[in-house]
Amino acid sequence: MPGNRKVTAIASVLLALAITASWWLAAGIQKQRKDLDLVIPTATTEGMPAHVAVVTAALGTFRGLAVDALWARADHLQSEGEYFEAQTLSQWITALQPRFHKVWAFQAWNLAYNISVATQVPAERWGWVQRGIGLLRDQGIPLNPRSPQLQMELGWIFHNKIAGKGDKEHWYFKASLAREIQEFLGDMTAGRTTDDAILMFRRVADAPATLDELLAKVPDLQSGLDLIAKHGAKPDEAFLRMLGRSLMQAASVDARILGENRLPDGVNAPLLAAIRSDRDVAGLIFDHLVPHLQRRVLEDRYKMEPAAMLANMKRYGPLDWRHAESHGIYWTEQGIKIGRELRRREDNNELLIIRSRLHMLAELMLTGRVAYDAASHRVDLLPDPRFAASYERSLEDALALINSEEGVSAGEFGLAEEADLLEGYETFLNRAVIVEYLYGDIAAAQNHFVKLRMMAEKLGRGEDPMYTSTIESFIAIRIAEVLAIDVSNLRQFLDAMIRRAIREGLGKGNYAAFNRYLSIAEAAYEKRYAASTPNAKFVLEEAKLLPFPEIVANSYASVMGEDSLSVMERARIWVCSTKPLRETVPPPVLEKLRAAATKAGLDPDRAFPAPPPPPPEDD
Amino acid sequence: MNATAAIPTLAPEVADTRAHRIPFWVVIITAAAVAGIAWLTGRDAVATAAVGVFSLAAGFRLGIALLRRCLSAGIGIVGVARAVVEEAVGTRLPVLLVILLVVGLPVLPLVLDPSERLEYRLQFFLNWSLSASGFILALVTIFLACGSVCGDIDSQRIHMALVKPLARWQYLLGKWTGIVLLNALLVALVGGGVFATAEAIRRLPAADAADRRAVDEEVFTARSVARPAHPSGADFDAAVEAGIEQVRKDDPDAFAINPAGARRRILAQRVLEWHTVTPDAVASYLFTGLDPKRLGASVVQLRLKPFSDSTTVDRAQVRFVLWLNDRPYPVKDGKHEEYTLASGMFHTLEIPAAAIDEEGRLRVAIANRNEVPPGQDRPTSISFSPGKGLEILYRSGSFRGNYLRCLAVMWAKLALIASAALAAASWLGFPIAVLASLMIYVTAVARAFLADAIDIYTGADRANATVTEMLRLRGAVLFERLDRLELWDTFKTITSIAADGFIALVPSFGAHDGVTEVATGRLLPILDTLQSVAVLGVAYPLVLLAFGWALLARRDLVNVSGF
Repeated sequence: MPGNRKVTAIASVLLALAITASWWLAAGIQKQRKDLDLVIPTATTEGMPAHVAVVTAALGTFRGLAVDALWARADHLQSEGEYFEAQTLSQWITALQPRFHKVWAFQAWNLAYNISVATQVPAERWGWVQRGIGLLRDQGIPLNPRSPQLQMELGWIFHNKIAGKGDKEHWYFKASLAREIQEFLGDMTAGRTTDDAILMFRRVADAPATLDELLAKVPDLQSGLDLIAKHGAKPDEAFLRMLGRSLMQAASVDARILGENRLPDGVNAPLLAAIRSDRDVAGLIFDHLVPHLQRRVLEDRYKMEPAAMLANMKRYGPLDWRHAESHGIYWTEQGIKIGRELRRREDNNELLIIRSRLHMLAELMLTGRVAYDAASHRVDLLPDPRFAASYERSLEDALALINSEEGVSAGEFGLAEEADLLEGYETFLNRAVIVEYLYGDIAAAQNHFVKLRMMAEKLGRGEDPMYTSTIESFIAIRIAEVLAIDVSNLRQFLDAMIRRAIREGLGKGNYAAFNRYLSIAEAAYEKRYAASTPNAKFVLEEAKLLPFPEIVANSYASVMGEDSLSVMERARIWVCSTKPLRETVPPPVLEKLRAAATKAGLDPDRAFPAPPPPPPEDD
Repeated sequence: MNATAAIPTLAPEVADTRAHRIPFWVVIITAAAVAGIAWLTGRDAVATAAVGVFSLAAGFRLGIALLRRCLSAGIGIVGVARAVVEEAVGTRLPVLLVILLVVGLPVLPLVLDPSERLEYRLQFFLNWSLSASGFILALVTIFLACGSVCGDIDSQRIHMALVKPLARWQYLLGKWTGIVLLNALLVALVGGGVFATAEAIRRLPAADAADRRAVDEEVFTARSVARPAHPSGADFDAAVEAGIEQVRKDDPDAFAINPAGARRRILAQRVLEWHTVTPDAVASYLFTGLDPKRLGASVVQLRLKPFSDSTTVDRAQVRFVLWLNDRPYPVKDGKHEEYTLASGMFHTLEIPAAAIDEEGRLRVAIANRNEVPPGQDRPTSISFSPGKGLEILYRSGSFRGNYLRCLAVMWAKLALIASAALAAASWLGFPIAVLASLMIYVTAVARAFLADAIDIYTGADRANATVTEMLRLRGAVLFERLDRLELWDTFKTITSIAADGFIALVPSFGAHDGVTEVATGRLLPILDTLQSVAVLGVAYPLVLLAFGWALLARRDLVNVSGF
């Protein structure tokens, strides 16, 4: 029919035009897709999980459309403050663009940084941070093992979000990470030397990878496995964590104060009792099975290589894996290792990475010792001066690398120079002297003080009284600056030092720190030191100052009677205080403490046991 | 001989209805068997899913039987409707899609991440189950409608119907009625299945107390929104007039071009200033209409999106303290606690319902406690976006009522799609009719996104512009580009005008979205529901069916050749 022929003719012309236009545009579009890394040939689906490979290959051209729709939906929901699909959408988006590392990095950052701050519930906020970490660690990095950016992105999240102080719930994050790791890895560094800590971890790194290998090596372990099976458990992560939780509860100081001596929930009490009652089996389980399980958890759940972790410990010191900076260092190192193997090193800013690593080591020097209490979910991060040496070694290695033939890339700024790293060194020396003096090795502190003096002279500041007097004077002035107190007001300075000794020392069970702070205070007291301005000296009338022990006692009583401090903190101080110190607290103050303990739901006899009555005098 | 008898219940290629009803009996029996085996082997989740499949499949069979009984009169429109129902259970594609729905829906909870917060699992399930069901039902509707009419025309069966005392409009109306009734059955089944599953998920353990409260108070509820009473009165009006006068003096020419626009801008600026809390200042916002006797909940939610005007820090924090009806909140250990929130993001704070006075009023006072940002010498202000940036959500209805209203809206959308598909099938062949119907459906679902995409593509983008304003803008751009002989851009502008015109004719399903409201525990008002049903379920179908009738009336059915 004429009408149909006309329609057919027009349609044919349109068809020809469309084919011509698509042929003309196809080459340009294909090139763009390759440049933007949007092409996934079937060959590159190797190694992908089945569902990812099927989706990326099957969707074909529509993959881009699906990705657009998902991004639009994710963006829209987020702008409306609705986050219930955020996790799922991020997984779908990354499943559709699995080789596009920027997508993984963005989605992980979005979960950990943007969405997490939308909630005020600490546990929920931590959940989002963990999702961001999980997205990179469990999916992004395994799918892109040759991408250093993802490893470094993960290291950054640990360093900045968890170890940093930017998020108001950062203490919750630190405590949660500490609990999660200590549950299965235990406390490997507590009270141990560097060599001992490394030795402890070597057992994990060298443990057999499979249960069969373990049994072949230690056939007697079968009795332990039989005992575990007999009580309805399996030699797996759940069993390991159950052991860990029990040990954490047993070691908890706060549990004793709170009177919580029972086993934590979910513990297989008969199994624990059976293990405890058979020393041989207990030895086999703890010496052989536990290290094997620890290795399995590190590899399977946390995707970390124990051998690489051990190498980091040997290189940098007794890394406490409960500390976020340790994880930051691990992932950064993994990224650096891959990055240096790439042909296009100039795409990576290696200087930034080295600086981050030095910053992490400096942080570990200031906070590297982790003390976690499971009963109250409380974490303390105390200085660990052993990392000062690691920092210096790392700096020396970096300087050597800068001066080597291959140099260090500074990204778009070309190659790095020595000055790029040395500007942070003075700050490091300042902190190292204080930390080593108060918490570690006085000889090391002296050594760094000498270096600091030399640097000050070089910079024309050698005449500053801070550098011309003793190391104690230097530390006193530095601490006074930090505490914003006037050193010329000796009474105020002494009170501040003594209070710090009590809270940082006794309150955290660190007697060494307690003694060091007191020695600074006593040094200032003895020297009647009062010079925050050069060449000014005050001579105080002795009558205006009580004897030093009385000043300490008064400050102690003042701290214990201070209602703005929590009852738990004062209870911890009390627990670690010597009898003479306790006896300096007036009875009314002690009664008030016990009443406060009762009000806070604590047993006052546990929290603030009354001093025993004096023995009757012999006639 | 009635119309039903004149219209064979099966397409010619389907020889035996029973062969195509078998899939449902297979599904029912298989589901029952799987449920039994799963229950015996301790796989409760699988057993529950299988029971769900069984229930839906059995419900579908019973529903069809009920529909047949209701449509047994078999005369005229009813007869045609009955025929459509028979086609639905006799044709492959609709049956397969329904099976997909019946099997897929109960399985969806199994893919939820158990480590996810219960609140999010529930919201995700509600959102995706209802959305996916709506999509599948839309496909069923399109394929059934197009297949029914095009099948009748291609196989010449339509003549058998139309030689009877059955007008073409009755024929179309009968088709539409049958599809709409079938959709009502399917929506009821889907609705029941999703509701039962959501209730089961709700009973699972929550992550913590906050999670449980969120499930009960923010998801399984229906909350209304209260916004603070904007400034008004003589003083405010005088301030606005002063601002307008200033603009008129400063730039009389610009003002003269669009005085209404200038007035709107000044007013918006004054309202924004009212929503801003300057450093060390306290701003007070009054919320009314919160009847404490009707709330039935212990908390209400204060939802806010604060902005810090710091240019140096992205997502800078804002710090403030709150008073509720002149009482500091919250107070912990005798201390009035501060809030520290990230800027530029929505935050939801729980407020005790007891803080609301007897007259249903809540005065929220906010004091700025921002710190001085680095590099600046004074703290920053805190501002809230007028509208959604500061609101109270309070319970005003039940989840069940809200849910039923959502299903009503879903059904209304399907009624519109059915009428569009029937209108397309009245004129076009099957594949083109399906494509046209899908195009209308996708446009309705993604209307806002498509409108934005077109604007960005053509580079003629103006936020919040009306259709007329956009057409005027595009017209100006078109002439400008023609003048400059920018042929490619001219072509883009012409296509965008056509696209804008098409989009303007299609209603936005997003504007009548009940699913998001249900998933986020927000009230879908009865009036809005009635309006949606009236517009989507009655008005648009009437227009589209009339259009389809006009096309069918003029179509030469004798000479149609399957094109």
